[in-house]
Amino acid sequence: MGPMSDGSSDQRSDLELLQSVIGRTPGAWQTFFKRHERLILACLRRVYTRYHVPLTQEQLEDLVGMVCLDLVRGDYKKLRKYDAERGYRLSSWVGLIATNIAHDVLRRRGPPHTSTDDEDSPLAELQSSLPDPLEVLNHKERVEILADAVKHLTPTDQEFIRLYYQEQRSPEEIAEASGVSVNTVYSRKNKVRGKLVKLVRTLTRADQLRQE
Amino acid sequence: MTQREDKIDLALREACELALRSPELPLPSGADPEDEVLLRLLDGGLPSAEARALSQQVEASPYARERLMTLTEALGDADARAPTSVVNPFDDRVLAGASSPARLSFLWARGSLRYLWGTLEPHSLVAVPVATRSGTFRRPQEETSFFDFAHRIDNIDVVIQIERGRDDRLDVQLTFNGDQARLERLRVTLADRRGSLLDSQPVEKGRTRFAALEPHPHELLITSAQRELGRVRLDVHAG
Repeated sequence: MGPMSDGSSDQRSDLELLQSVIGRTPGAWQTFFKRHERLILACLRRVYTRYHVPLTQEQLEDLVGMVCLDLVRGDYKKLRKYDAERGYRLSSWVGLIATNIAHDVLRRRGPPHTSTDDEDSPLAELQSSLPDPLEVLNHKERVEILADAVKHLTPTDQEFIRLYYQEQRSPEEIAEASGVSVNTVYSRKNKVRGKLVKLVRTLTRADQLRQE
Repeated sequence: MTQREDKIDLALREACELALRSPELPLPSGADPEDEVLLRLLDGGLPSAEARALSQQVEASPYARERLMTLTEALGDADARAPTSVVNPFDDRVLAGASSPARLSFLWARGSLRYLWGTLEPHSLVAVPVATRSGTFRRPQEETSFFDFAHRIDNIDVVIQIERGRDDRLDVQLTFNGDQARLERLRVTLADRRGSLLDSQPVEKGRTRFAALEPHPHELLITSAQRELGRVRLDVHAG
């Protein structure tokens, strides 16, 4: 957000700040939000990451808005319910509210987004040099050995192929979400496929050695 | 399968399903421990015997277990000042001057406008004098329903003013400051959040104003010679 402090420089305790928010002291809500902003964002992102659901900046902002609304609606009805005597921290409570909202939204969401694939991607060269092990395997074997190979990729590469193959996102969407060019997405796809081919060769070879 | 896809691509799609299958989103059930109990377990507010018993209860409840795990990790992220790739406060994006829309979120309740959060901060949060029969008192700004924000779009300074107008409607004014020749070509288009056009005005004398808006979400699109310069999203929620 803007140039305001992150709320940590405000010397009020959580409870004092909460009382100021409920009492509508000017600026108190903004300080309260800034103090918990990182936690709210972390909770929302953690839930989406946990269930492998891509989260755009706009969706994240929508979720933050929902958390804020939940906290302030009905003249701070929810915030008024917090009782420090119950044995848990205000921040934990705010975090759980954000976590619950992310779960609720995920449960309500529709089917995964699908899009057309890359008609013009420069895959022709790669396709002409498909690896032998994958060519000779039948479809079921190919899927199984590729699944095994995918598990050996780095988390970053796994995330990429999840977006591209599992979510079937278009290169344009991936480019926008990752802040790179569409050409970089194509190049990345080829690199990741190349790594998979090498992994499949290694895994197949290891399997052959085991059988010998 | 498109022309450019081969059997490896096809196999990869299925392989991804096998290798990267997401954990199933747990559903709440009547047997889940209450949220408050989870929080007390997390923050150590339970006697040890009770905590042990409850830990077993949490283990048996996927819904409670998943949320407790997420919350524990997120608290760690926030406390550790994790890299922005994890928590990504909006500050970084705004300071980097990215072209994402500015976003301002308000609560409209009991005829009053309250600023919730956004990618910009209100210019000032000050008490504003309000005339009454018995004199003048200083009402907190969050109840006076006037907010102004400084923004910058394509090297043009913009002041966005939002206030409660007559009959429980909103007035929005944008004031631009920059090179005069550029300002003359500016236009601001108002749409609802579904993208339906509501109004479009040229910027005259560095200013444009939309009056009597319904207290619902809106989007302002700023263009110059039909080129988009920026967007401002106004989320107004009833509460």
